[in-house]
Amino acid sequence: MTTRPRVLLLLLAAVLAALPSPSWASGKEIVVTETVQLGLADAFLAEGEYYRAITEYKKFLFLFPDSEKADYALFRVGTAYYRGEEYEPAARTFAAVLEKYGMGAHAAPSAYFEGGSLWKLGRFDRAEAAFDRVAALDPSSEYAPLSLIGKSLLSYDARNVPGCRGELARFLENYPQDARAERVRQTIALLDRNGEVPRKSPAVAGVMSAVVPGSGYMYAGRYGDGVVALIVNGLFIAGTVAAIHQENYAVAAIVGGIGLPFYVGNIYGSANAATKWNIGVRKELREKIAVSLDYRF
Amino acid sequence: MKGPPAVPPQVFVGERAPETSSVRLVFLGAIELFQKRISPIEGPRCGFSPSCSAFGHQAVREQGPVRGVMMTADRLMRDTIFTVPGPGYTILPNGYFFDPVSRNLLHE
Repeated sequence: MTTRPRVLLLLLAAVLAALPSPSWASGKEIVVTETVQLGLADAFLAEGEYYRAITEYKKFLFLFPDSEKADYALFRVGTAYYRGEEYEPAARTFAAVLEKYGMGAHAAPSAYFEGGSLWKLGRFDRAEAAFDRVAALDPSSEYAPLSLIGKSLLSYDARNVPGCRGELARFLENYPQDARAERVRQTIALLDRNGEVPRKSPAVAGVMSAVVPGSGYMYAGRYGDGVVALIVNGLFIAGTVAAIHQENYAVAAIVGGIGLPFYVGNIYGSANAATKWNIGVRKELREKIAVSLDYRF
Repeated sequence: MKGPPAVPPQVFVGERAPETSSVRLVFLGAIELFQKRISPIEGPRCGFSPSCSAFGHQAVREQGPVRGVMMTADRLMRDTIFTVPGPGYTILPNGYFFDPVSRNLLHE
């Protein structure tokens, strides 16, 4: 090798050595510790980035399976699913917390939110069993009295008003000093005032409209619809009868044929109006109870 | 939930199984004829959402011709100036009463 290329190579080596290396220049390293990993996951959860939070919590469980905070991470996976309204995996995850970590600090909250998830899924029996487990796991947990309130509303949703009242009475018996005790007392008084939720029978409404068209709507509190049904059906019936009297059977068949769906529809609609009335009354009382208890799931 | 859906959607909007019942086809055809040829003449007049024809179409398709026709007749009798907001009806931001088929199935 001649002198000139050798000098050039040396010069190039000197320049490269003088350039800052991106991996070394800062002198910082990425060190994943339990705190860092959980902090990242918690930040994603706080921002509402539920899927990313779940990924990071699962990464934590993969990297630190024996950590003391493993139950917390799995509980937060369930929380992320719950907040993201994915109740099926949420219920599974909360159940897994109880199965894997037993009586840990997150056992009672997991049972409570498992109950909440199952409630949202409409599985009332399993939700009730999960709420029952809360007090059994940790009677001093803040979730134990809440689980009784949850159970009372669950009973109401399952149309068991005495059961709803019973759970609230149990709350007062077990936690008389709780901050919510006064609200619970007021709710019991509200339930006592309303007694059994009033009902309108869809069958009675249907029969009434079969006898006098529109009367079933009126029975269900829909007076305007009742008047319209009475006029429409009255005209069709009068038209059909008049055609029969004039021995104009073809016209009678046409008018009667068109009027028949309206007559049957008036019976169906009356029963439907009574059903809607029942739903409305139940919903209204449910809202009042939730407001009185200041309880939202 | 922010992120990919847990299960990719399998059914595309607008896709449904072909209709086979002849009675149902007659009613559905009549409603479609109304929707395409008659209704556009004066424009939308129904105070409900879905409109009475859309309600009837869905009711006949999902509940069969007998129950569907009863539900449609009931809806037509309720689409009047007497209809007022209340527990039975939710008012939408556009002023229409929300009254889908699913709220008229006699289920509490």
